[in-house]
Amino acid sequence: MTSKLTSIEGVAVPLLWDNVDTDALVPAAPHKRINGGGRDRLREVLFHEFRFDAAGQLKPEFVLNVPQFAGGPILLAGENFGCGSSREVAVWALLDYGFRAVIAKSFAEIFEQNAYKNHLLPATVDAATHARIVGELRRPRPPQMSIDLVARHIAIDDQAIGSFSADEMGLEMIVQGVDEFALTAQYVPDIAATQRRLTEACPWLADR
Amino acid sequence: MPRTLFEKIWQPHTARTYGTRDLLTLDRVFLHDMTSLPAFETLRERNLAMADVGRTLAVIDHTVATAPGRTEETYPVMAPTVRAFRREVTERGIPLIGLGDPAQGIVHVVAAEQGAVLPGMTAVCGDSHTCTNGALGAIAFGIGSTEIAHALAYQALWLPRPKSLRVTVNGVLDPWVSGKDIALAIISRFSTDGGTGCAVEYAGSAIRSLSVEERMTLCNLSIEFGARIGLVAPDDAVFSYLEGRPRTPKGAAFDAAVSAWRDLASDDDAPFDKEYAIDARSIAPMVSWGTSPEDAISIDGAVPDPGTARDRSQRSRWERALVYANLEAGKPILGTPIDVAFIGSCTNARLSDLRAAARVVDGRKVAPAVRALVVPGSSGVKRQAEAEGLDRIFRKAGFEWHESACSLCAALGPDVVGRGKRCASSSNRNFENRQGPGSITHLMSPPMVAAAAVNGAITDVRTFA
Repeated sequence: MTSKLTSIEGVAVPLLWDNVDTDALVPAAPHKRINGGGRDRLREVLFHEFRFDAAGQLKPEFVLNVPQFAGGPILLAGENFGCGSSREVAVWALLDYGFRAVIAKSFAEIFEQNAYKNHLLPATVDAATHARIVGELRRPRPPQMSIDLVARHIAIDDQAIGSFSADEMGLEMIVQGVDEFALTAQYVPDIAATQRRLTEACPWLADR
Repeated sequence: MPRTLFEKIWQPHTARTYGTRDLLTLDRVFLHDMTSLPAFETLRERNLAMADVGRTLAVIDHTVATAPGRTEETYPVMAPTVRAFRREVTERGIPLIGLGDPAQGIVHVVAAEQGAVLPGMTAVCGDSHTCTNGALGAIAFGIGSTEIAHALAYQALWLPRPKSLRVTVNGVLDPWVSGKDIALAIISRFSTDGGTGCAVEYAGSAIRSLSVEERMTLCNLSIEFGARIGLVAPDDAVFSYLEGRPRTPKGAAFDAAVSAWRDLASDDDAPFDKEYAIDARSIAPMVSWGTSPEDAISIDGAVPDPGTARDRSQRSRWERALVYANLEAGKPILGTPIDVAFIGSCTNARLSDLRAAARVVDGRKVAPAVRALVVPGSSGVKRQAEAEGLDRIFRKAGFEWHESACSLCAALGPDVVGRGKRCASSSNRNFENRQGPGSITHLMSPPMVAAAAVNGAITDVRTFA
């Protein structure tokens, strides 16, 4: 998590559903089965109920199982991606599977914050840009997408498609390959001063 | 400058600002068995100590069994996780409420019962339903595991400053319309991401008329409305709820706190970024039909026709939801047969929920084909319910009476609904596979679950009771 990331390039995998929830991303039952197996086994359970049927066979029609999209680092979703739980395994599973970015019309808040903290790019695009991307993906051979994290631009086969928005601090952490722990360490005195001030005015905040 | 309730808590807790983010200091960090271990790992990797162990509290609730006599070992799949969690919090000196402790229960229920969340506080937990205790006039919200590590290390978090949204519900509620129905009505009307990016304040005469426990149900479902934070201005009902609880200030200190808490209300002319309103009289008992909490309708309504969806993507989502839920568009939801009835979860398993459900069940029998269970929100709720004889009412009717934990809400322990089975549930999420692989969930209030259990089908509690 210490390397800089200024661009993401590759095939975009279209999963154009709205409200993809954290139970869809990492369902409880298979996750419990690999419990203790570590984050490097989460690829097995990502979208488990959609990738596999009840007998454990691959569902060929699910987009992650379509050969031409295999290994694509960018997931293209609809609205409100990642709604539901705060479980960070939803982000870890996407990363472990090989995704580096999710492009969506909107994200659920906790998922979005978890994504930044793990340097998975949650790129928000407006409806027009989203529609343009979807249109480009209708080609027989999936086109190469590139995301420029510094310029906040998306291109397909070197042709500019549009821009994306992202949280300023979150994006900076991804681009610079840093996280907020080091930043916060500088502000420990500010935190202490704030807590002192609060406790003087409201002693019950510190009582326990 | 007039300020909202939210600003009155957020602003004095802000230690620094960086662009659109504030470094918010935290008064409480709650931990549970499902999401904490990776946070401890992060602390170890970074060689970070905890900032203030006295502001933490750990509870075991998510991954354990609920059958009578259960222990940490009853569910072998997750027992190693629970053991590791207990060992680590004990080593770190974090106060732990584990299985067998009389105070054990679902973390959000326990936090309120203990008086560990108070008006004006900021509180976090690695669970999205932490917003429940916004009902006490606190900023309480769910966080991921990396954020837990950061919260433990610094007692603060960098957060995008939320927009303010007020949802006003005025008017008189039908006696069978509860906090759950209000929440589902709001989410179905304004969509499951209607509150995204916002701290939601619930206001209006109908909200003020709710008991504190019903406000908890309402605030609990803020995350299903997209909002990480939901809160209600604290009033006398909250102050008397809190008085005398184990961690609440006592005597003169309590009186001083109450007089400060009285200022925790939005000023009359405080501006909100967004305002929504609902007429209380327009809300009937609600039931969800599909696979998102916004897929909720009045109990006397019909399963919607995808042809009436607002756009193509909603239409395709509805079509998939109808297939998954095995329902037919245009048909009444009333009378849909159920297999399981679940009264439990941090949403709706407090004492008032159990009382309301027991009144419906009293003297009746659960339909023969239905598995019905009550999983109290806390061991304290369970004891109190037993003291009132509610357990006898439920058992006599054919309900199972369990120990407290998250149970069928998230299927992280051994309790599951079963593939293709349909559950009337007092919980919070009707996502595909949420209650175990292939489960079909219908969200509703505890009395509605009770009525469905007896009839063996989705029922209008207004005409049933």
